[in-house]
Amino acid sequence: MKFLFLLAFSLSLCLLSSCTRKVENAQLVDKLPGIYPDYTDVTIPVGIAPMDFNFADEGIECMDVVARGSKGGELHVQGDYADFGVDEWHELTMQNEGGDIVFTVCVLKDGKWMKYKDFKMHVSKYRLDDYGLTYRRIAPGYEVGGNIGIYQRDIHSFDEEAIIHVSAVPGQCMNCHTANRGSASQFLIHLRGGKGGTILRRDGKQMMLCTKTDSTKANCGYSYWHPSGNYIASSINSIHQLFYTGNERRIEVFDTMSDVLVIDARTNELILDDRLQTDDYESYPVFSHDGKTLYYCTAKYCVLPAEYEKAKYSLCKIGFDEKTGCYGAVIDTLINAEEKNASITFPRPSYDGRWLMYNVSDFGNFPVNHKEADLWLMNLATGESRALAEVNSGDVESFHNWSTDSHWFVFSSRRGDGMYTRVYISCIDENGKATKPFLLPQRNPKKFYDEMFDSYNCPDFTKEKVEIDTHQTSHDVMEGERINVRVR
Amino acid sequence: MPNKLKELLKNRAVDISISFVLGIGVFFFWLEGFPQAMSYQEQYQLFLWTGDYFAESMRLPGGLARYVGEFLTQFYYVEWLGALVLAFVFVAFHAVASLCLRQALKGYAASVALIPVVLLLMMMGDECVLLSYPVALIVAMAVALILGKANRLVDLAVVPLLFWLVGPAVWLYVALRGAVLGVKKYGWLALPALYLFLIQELSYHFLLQQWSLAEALLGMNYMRFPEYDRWQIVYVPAAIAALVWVSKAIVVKETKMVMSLVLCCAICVGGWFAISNAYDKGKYELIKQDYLIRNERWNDIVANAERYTVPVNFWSESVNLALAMNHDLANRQFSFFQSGVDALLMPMMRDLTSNLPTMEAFFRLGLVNESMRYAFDLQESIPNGKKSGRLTKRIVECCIINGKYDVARKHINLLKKSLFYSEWAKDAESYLGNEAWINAHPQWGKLRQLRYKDDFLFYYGEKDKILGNLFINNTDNKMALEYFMGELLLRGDIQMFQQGLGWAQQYGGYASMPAGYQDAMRCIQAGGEVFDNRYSDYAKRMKHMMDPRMNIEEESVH
Repeated sequence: MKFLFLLAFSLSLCLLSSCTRKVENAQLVDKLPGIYPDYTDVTIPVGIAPMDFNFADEGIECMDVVARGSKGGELHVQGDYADFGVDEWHELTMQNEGGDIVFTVCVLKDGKWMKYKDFKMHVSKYRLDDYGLTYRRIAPGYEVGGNIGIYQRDIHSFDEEAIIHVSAVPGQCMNCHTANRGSASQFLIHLRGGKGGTILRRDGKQMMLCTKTDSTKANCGYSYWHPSGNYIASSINSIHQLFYTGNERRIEVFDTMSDVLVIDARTNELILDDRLQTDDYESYPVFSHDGKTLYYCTAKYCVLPAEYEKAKYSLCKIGFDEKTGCYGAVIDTLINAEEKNASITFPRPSYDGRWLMYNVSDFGNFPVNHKEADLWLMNLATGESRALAEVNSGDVESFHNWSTDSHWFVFSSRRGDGMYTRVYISCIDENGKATKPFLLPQRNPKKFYDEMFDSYNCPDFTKEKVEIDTHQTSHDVMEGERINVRVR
Repeated sequence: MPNKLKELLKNRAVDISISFVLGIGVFFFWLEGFPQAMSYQEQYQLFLWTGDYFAESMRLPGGLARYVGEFLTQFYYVEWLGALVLAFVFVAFHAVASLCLRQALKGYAASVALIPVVLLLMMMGDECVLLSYPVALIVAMAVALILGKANRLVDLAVVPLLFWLVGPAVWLYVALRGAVLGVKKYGWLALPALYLFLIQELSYHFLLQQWSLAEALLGMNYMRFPEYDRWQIVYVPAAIAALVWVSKAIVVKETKMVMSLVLCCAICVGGWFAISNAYDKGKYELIKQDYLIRNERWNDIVANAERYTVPVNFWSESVNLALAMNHDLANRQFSFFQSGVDALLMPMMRDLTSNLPTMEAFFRLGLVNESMRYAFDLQESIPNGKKSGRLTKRIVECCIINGKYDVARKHINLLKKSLFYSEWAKDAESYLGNEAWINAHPQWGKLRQLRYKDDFLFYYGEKDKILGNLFINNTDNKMALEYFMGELLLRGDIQMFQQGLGWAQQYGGYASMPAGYQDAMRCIQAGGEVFDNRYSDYAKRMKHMMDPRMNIEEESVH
């Protein structure tokens, strides 16, 4: 017994002392440390989860990191990677709101310490008080959803949990969680498959809708809430995908039919308009911050998939009257795809009414699979647009959404390895200048992302934690009655 | 030899002999009878030697059984080792079942314990049953034996713990404890059962939010498919419990060896018939074809097809692939069953097995992206969310051929954490970024030459054109030529087939027109009605013989 105790004590001591060494005689290296993720010069909000990072070169014995705040505070960690405690980190960011955190990185390799040039993270003056993110996790497969699930992540810690996982609704493919400005009490989830339907939660009530009618050719797809919570703009799409034979592209997703409509969430009625249900392709409807305008994308009819490179979407808008539930008289084209020779998709107006972020790709309606897809920003006051060069990369950027105060935005990108989409967050100032985005922090991020075989789809901010009775939802999906929507 | 051991051997000679014979029998049953079943099970999991993998397993009830089951299943990769593992599992299962019965049945226990063994072997004929199931039963019985007549209060802790370790197999533990302690001493048997039910209910409500009640009650790790008929898992533990309870009413004073052997033989004979019927011949022949493809035993696939036919797409595709690999598709395609227009390449089916031959054919044809797509989707179709060593390997190969080294490295890192794929992964890693090595690789280098370099959309309905263009892209691609011509014949596109004969003559490398093409030409020239002509038989079956171009509609047997 005594022997066992001594053995356990010695082992614990060994583990604790595996990397607690004093940095001595460090050789200065005149370059920034190669870290993963690249957090150099990123801007972070107060209270974000600890920005743990690894040294990119795996052959090191130990890493010593000192994080000093420009306005005070210091953290010192040592180990296989830079691993900060949640509370200490939060305190450091709070102390340095509007300032910088300077990191001094030393690594032990082949018995010698090396000290790299310091780098900074900037702590924004803009708070990010939302609870966290919601997103879908799905393997980047082709036609099979696999181990799919919709998750939520507390961005102030590392806690992640499933909102609904396929194990609760076996055999069903689920689309993303669409919330009304990050509200956990107003959201919908579309499910496809044999038990497909729309889970709609509004004002504490949850119901399953069947959104296909005799007058509409498919179930509702891409959706967006009216700020009042009384309406939901939706597209109905006949979505198909084909696969490339060559080396650079993988998948082309296209609609052989798509229209735009609005659902009156109070009465479960569809509000249709011939102008939004033409032979052309209308998709991606979103309401403006005040709910008075409906933005959407539209492409001229072409034979798909044969003419898939001809499908280029313009950005349009039409008025919407909340009181009557009627569309405006005039449709305006904000960005003409033919003039721009590009396709505009995924418009997302900021909730403060200042900006409209959208995707630009060469063609098509699904930029997620277009390497050239970038984020652009329109100033809604002037109508001027520009590419968000400070955010874009050489690979896909797409699926963006705003924080509830509209000073932060989240998007997914394949800049890591070209296949697995990851979540990035960036800050935007009064002038529309975005900061260098940072990868969603994780504990031991290199290990985490290396071992993560899912892509992150449709990230969005959520103000509070989404509470859902999964067993009830599972029952509703698998056995429950659907409420049929009807055309107004 | 110590006296105690001598005495044990003397007293338990029959038991030990039965266990020994059982072990040998089970070993050869799997090794010689069903090596394909082991290959099938092994390819739908990837056991990783990491703490995270263990932690992930232990997250749900039955986690330990799942972990041990998957640990053992990885050894199926080496056939004899897999058979040995299974032999040990069955011997252990028999031994603990026998010990449970021993108090009442004395020397007959080992013979009677063969009944649950037979039932278990029958159940494992269902390819959805995982090894975690027998592991869970063994642990449940073993714990009941170890605790013996220990105070019933220990069950307050043991039952929930065992539930988390082995899952609902803990019901067997409760039943056995009830039998050992006696109904009166154990309280009502209903009380511990109620306690266990309460634990399962609480787990369901508070810990298993993403799982169904059926899974919480009947286990989430015993079967591969969540929505599968779970009640069948009840049969074996119910049989054991019933035997133990019934045997309590029988008083055996002494054991007659002859009687014991007769009993043993009777159970074995009856069991043999029962087991024979439990393994669906057609299903296991299909699994065998896939196993042979995995091991590139092309001649064996053809030889198998000469003996037996399972009239479905999977079969046709397997045989056609083997023929093509032997450069014999042009001669013999229609000598074997052709399921229809999908007999060479099947469209995507959302399950974990159907597209395996197509994935393999795509890869060897040089349709690398298509092969990777099918590999991805096959892997994502594994219903319990497991990765597959075989499919991950294929994804790595496709990524290396396409020069996507970051993605290849990610998958290689995964394989490196396994036991049997690790060496391969390390070797593959040495190729990353080394263009000269990859180009010199006997398979990857060749496929780089054969694959499409231009991006255009693969449309399944036009796979004949895709195969034709693939051949034009590189006229050394004789497999693409044979698939192209075979595809035309399957579709009955006679005009294109006749045009393609020129290519076959020029590039096919045949000394004379292949027998299959001669048959087809005779059939075409005779307007379809030709006696003793395989292609004619096929066309008749497809019911479109009178069409001058024999334009056969899609009519496939999936």
